[in-house]
Amino acid sequence: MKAFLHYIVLVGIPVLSVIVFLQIGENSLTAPASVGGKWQLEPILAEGNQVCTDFLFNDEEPRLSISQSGVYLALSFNDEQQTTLSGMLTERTLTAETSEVSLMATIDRDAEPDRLEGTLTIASCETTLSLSATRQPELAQTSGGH
Amino acid sequence: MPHLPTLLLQIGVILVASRIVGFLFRKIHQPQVMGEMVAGILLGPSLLGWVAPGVFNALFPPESLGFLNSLSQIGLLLFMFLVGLELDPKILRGRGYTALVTSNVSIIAPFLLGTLLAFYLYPRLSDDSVTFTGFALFLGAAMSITAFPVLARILTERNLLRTPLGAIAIACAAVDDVTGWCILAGVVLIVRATGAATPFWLTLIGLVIYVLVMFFLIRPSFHKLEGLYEKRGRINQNMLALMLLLVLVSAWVTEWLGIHALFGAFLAGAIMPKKYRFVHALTEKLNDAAVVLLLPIFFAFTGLRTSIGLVSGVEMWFYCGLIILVAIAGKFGGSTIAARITGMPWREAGALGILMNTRGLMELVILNIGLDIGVISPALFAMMVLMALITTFMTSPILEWVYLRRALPQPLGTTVGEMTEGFPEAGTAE
Repeated sequence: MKAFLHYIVLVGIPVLSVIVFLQIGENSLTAPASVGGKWQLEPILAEGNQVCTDFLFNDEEPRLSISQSGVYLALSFNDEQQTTLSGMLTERTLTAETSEVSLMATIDRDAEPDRLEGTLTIASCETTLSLSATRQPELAQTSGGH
Repeated sequence: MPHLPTLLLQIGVILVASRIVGFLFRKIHQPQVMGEMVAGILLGPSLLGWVAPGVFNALFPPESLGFLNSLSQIGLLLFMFLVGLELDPKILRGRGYTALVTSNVSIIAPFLLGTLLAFYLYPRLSDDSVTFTGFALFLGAAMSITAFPVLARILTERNLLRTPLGAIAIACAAVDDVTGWCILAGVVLIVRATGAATPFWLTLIGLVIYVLVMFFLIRPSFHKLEGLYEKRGRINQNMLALMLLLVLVSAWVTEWLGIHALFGAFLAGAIMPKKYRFVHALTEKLNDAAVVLLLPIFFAFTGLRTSIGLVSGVEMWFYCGLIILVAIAGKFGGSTIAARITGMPWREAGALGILMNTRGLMELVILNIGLDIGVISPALFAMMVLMALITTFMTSPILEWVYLRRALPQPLGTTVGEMTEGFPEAGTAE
């Protein structure tokens, strides 16, 4: 009997607690919007500022890769230097910067596929460019493997 | 087609690094496998990619990693088969209650703390493509694992395997292993069921049928194989081919059912005959290739996916510290308290807690599954890899300090099942 009571207290109650906590968490918590994966960048409207963007978008298919860990982001462009920015996600707004480049964009989850709209500021050019990107659906869900 | 020279070069570098770092770790009284895990991290973006990005990119170009991954998965399948092979219900004989309670508590305590930790981490380190239930269940499962093979190795090296403490520890780890994998199978099923084409109930029925077939149809057939072995005195190539075929088919079925190939390999090992001589002979055939050649490739592949650079800034390191703290508190605390309540003296109970806190490569296996199914992010993966390394690294010195220097273990005699005599060789990454 004592052994049975031990088992109930030590194992049974924690198992029930886990079930209750899972239910509470599922009903009360929300995680940041998913933005991780590959994004296809659309040509930037940079009249007369081609030289400013060349160093970032010298590839035929400019892409932005976002590695997401919750609100923490690492953004990489597929330029030769593999320019990488550290950023944060606040609700639907994404901000990231280095000393040379800074980016601010909003994610549109209602669009199909998801879209990013925002601005890109390049310090050496003293200019702000508009930025649009479309999420590549096949890579949007998982971050690794298979 | 793989670029063969690149692949051969990669395997050569991995082999050399794992042997050298493994040797160095043995010099500081750590298991070889600990060094091999660290070698994998050193070859990844966290060190080689950071100090010599040119060399790193030339050695591990992204397009070559698929082949390395395939090799590492084959190695893991064989390794999980060996882990299943080692499991023998006989080791529970005579200590069922203590082992059952301590083991169950050592799972549920970190699981509960992991679930609570998920409340804090989910809004910070996850995203809305993952449900809270999936995230919390995975975190709980990853916190509650014990590395049965590494534990067996530490007990052997410290001459503890034949002591009451060693016998209880190995029995608990065995129960932990089976329970942990069952929980993880459930977690993977739940996570993959979200948005899957096959309904959850259909997968579950398929799983039940598969397990029943393995236990009631396949298992008796393979017991006949043991009789054949006894008659011939050796495992011939046809017998080995048959067993490898079972591993592959079983792995394929579980992967097809939507769980993971590793579960199938593990179950194939678990249903094998358990007579010592047979297990020993089979292990001898497979162990060296799996442990010396293929497992380091898995560690290197894990290292290539581990970017410690993603854990940057005070906040991220705080989360990392919290994960390590919760993992230790749950596993060490839960095991110690349960062992004490079931009648063990404090010192032995504490030593058992320390041993159960060893996570080793089993944790890496689970974390890779988590990253594959997208339930954890790359940064959380890196944090949990650090947790696995730290909890494994701390076992030997703390055990030495808390227990071995103060208490002389009393030999248990011959009551530990003969199966445990095979631990130094049997499926054990040194």
